[in-house]
Amino acid sequence: MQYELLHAGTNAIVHVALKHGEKIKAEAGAMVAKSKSLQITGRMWGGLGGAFKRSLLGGETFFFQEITAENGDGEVLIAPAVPGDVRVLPITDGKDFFIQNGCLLAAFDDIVLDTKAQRLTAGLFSGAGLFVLHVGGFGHVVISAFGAIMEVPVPAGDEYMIDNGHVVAWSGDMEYHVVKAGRGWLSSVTSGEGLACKFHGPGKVWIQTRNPRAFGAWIRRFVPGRGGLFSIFG
Amino acid sequence: MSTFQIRKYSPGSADANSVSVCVEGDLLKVVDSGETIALDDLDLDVGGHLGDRIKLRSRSTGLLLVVEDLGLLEALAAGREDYPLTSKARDAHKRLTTLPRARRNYWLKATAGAAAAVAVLYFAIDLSAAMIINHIDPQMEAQLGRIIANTERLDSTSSEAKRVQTIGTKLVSHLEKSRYKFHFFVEDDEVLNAYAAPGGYVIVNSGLVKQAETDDELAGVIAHEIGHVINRDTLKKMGHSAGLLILVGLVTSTGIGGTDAQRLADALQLGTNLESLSYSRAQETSADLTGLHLVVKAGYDGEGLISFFQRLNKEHKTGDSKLLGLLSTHPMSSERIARIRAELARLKKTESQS
Repeated sequence: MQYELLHAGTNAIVHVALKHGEKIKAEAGAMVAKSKSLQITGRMWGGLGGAFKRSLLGGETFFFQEITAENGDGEVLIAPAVPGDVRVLPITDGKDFFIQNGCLLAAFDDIVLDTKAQRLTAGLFSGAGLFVLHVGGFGHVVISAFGAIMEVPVPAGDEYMIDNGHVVAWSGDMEYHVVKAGRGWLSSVTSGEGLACKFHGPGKVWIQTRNPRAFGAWIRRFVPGRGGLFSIFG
Repeated sequence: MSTFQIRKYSPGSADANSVSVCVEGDLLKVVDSGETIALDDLDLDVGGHLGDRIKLRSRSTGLLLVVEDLGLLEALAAGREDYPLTSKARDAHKRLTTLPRARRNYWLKATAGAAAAVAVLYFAIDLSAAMIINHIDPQMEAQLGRIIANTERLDSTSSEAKRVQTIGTKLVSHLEKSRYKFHFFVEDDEVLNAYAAPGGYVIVNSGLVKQAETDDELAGVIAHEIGHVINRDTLKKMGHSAGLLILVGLVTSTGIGGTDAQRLADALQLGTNLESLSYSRAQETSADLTGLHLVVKAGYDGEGLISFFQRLNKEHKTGDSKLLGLLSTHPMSSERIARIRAELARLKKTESQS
C-alpha cells in the first residue's frame, strides 16, 4: 500500500494505492473517488458497542467504510468534509495518539481504535470534548483539521501552551492541563484568549491553524436572522 | 529474566524509539544496545494523558523511558530497600492497579455532582421564574393572555358562550379583590376541556358546555379555571417551561441562538397548546379550593364539579380517549373528592357559625 498527500493545505486529499487484497478504513462519506477493482463495505468498527461509543461519545460517524482491493490493484481518493489540511501519522514502536472528536479521517493496517473519557476539566474546557479517540496498534492514521495542521514537538521536561479549540491530536505519553491563557483571569479574559491547554512533553501535538467555534461565531454575524431590527443591517 | 518493550526518548527529543529493557541487579539494561543505567540514577513518575504511563528519567543523562507494562514496575519494586526507586515503584504499582476503580469513582462523583447541579438549576428555574413574574403587571399579563389565547378565533356570541359568560361573571363578582378583568369564551371543540390564559381569560370547549346539565356543574369547571388565573398558574408554568428549555440547552451545550432562539420563542408561545399545559398537584389543589370558595359564595352547589366529573366518567368510560380531555388530565380521584368535600364542609360550618 502506498499513500500520497495531494493539494496539501486547505483542499488536501489523500491518494491511496492498494495492492490486491489490501484494505483501508475511512470515515463514512470520505471517499471522493475510487477505481473499479475496489469494493466499499459499511462496517461498525469495534462492533456495535464500539460504533456506539465512537458516534455518540467521540463525534465520529456510526459506520466506517472499509475499502478493499477485492478484484485487483486499485486506488482511492479520500478527503474530509471541511476545508482543511490532512496529515498521515505513522503508528509504530508502541506509540499511541489521542485524536479530537471528528478529526479521524482514515486508518491503514492494524490500527486499534477506542474512545476514552478525559478528565472533566479537560473535557469541558479544552475544546477537544469530553470523549476523545485513542489510536494504537500498528499502521497509519489520517487526521483532518480546520485550517492547516502544524506539528509541534515537545521534548521531555518542556511544556507548550495551545489555545483551546486548536488541538487536533497529541501523543499518548503527554499530559495536558487546562489553564488560564494569561497571567491572571483578567488578562486571560481581556486578551481574548481565555483558557488554553498546557501540554507537557515528551511527545508531539498537532494543532489546527483555525478554530472552528471562533469561525462559526464570526460567520454568524453575517447570517441574516429571523426578522428583528438588526437583521436589516446584515 | 523478563524483558519489557519501552519507548526511549533521548534528551531534547520529542520522538521515541522502541527498545527492550530488563532489570539486572542494580542496573536497567537496554537489551539491544547493551547500554545500562544505574537504578539509583532513575526518577520514577506516573503520567501520560490517562495517567497510565510509567516514566523513568535518568538524572545524569536526561534519558526518558516510558512504558505501560506493570511487569517492569514489579521488577523495580523487588529492588534494594534503600533505593528510593524501590518504594516509588511499589507506590506506582499500587496506584496503577487501582486506576480503573479510581476512574470509576471519579466519574461516579462527577455524575453525582452534575446531577446535583442540574437539580439546583431546576429548582432555581422556578425561583427565577417567580421573581420575573412578580414584575409582570396585570396590564402586561392581560396583553400576553389575549395574544396567547388568540381570542379572535373564540366564540363570545353563541348561546353556549352567553351561558359561560353569565356564570363566569356571577362567579367573579364575588371575588373580594381582583387585579384582573375577566373574559369568558367558548372554543368550538368537542374535547371535554377548559383552560385559562394569563390575565383573566377563561376558555371552555363547546363539548364540555353541552355536557353540563346544570349551571352548578359548569360553574365548578369555570371557577376552577378562575382559580388558575388568580394564582397565575399559567404564567408560572410557561416561565418554568421556558426556563427548562434554557436548562436543557445549557446541559446539552446547544446554546441559545439561531434556531434555538426560535425554539425558545415557540416554548413561550405555549398558548397555542395551552390546553395541554399540565399544572403541579399543588396548583391543581389550590385552583380546586379557590374555585370552590367562589362557587359557594356565588350560590352554586359546591358538589357540582364532583357530580359533573363522576357523571362524565360513567358516560364516557368506553369512549374515545381523545375526547376525554379534562377527565384524563384532571381525574376526579378519591383524594380530590375528599379534599373538596372536606373544604365544603368547613365552609358550611363557618357560614353556619357566622
